[in-house]
Amino acid sequence: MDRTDEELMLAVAGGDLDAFGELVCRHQRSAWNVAWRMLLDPTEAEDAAQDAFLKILNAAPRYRHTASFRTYLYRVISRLCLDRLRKKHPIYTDRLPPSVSEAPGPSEQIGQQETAVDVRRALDALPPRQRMALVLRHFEELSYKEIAEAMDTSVKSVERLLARGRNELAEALGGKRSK
Amino acid sequence: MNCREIRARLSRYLDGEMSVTERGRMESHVDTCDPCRKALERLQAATEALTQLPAPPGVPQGFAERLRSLAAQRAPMQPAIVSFHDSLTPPMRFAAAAVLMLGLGLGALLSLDLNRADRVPKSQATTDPAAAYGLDVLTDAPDGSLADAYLALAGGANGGGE
Repeated sequence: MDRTDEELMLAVAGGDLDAFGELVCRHQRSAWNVAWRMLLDPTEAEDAAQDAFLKILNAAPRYRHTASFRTYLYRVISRLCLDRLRKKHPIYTDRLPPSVSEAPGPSEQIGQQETAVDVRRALDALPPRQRMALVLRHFEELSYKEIAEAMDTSVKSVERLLARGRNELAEALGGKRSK
Repeated sequence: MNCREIRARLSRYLDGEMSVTERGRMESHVDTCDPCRKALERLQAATEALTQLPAPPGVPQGFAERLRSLAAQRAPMQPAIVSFHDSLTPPMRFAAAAVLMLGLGLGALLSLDLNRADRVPKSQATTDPAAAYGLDVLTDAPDGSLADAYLALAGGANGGGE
């Protein structure tokens, strides 16, 4: 029978690197996805995801099963991504960060491709915490409570972050459509 | 609920983070209020636009293996040694501290009491230093013996340390 994440973490705390490897295999996709969506650069995203797992490894002896391992992982990766963004853009400005070049691919409707780029730019232009809340809600499908735990904040604060993020997205996209 | 309250909750409504009752109230209001309905549709459109974003590329090849290798290079972890203090919940820590304080307090009181009981009367201390040091049991020691030397020390026979 497969061990639970919490059982694997206990084993990791005892020095079991195979258990650590198992945890990585189970959750690498989640860590990578969040890092990629937040940091935009594949190399940075891989660094952040790797750092997240190494931090978890180092903290294993102190790990307490107060929340699910999944939420704990999201907390670690969120914090790392937000720290990196803070260092890159210490003062938030209205300038768009450099976007990942969208490789032109076959597209039946040019309008659709343009919109995807617009959406990407609009999302990337959001303040990091609003963007993180949207990424965790929309793409990782975390509940408000889980997002609050991952971002070390309250449920009320998560609600505000999501509301503001969506409003700003709507503003940005509404402006594009009216052009 | 008024329009301001409704709009403050639209995001939560979209995410299904509402009780059935609250959801019903929201829908009743939105059905009859054009501005709130438009605000809801605007947020819905913005949320749906996110689905147009491409999925992230796959996890880089060899990610797990590289991580495993890095983990193996680190110093071997010591098994968790959970301190007694860390293993206690806050109420238990408070109780343990209270017991400790009580024990220290009792010990101090007992010590005070014992000192009082053991204290040699002043008059005796000035005339019988051996008794003051508890060496009066050696008073029958023969001359030149080690015990006699101790008695001499207690009585300041060697100059009292000057």
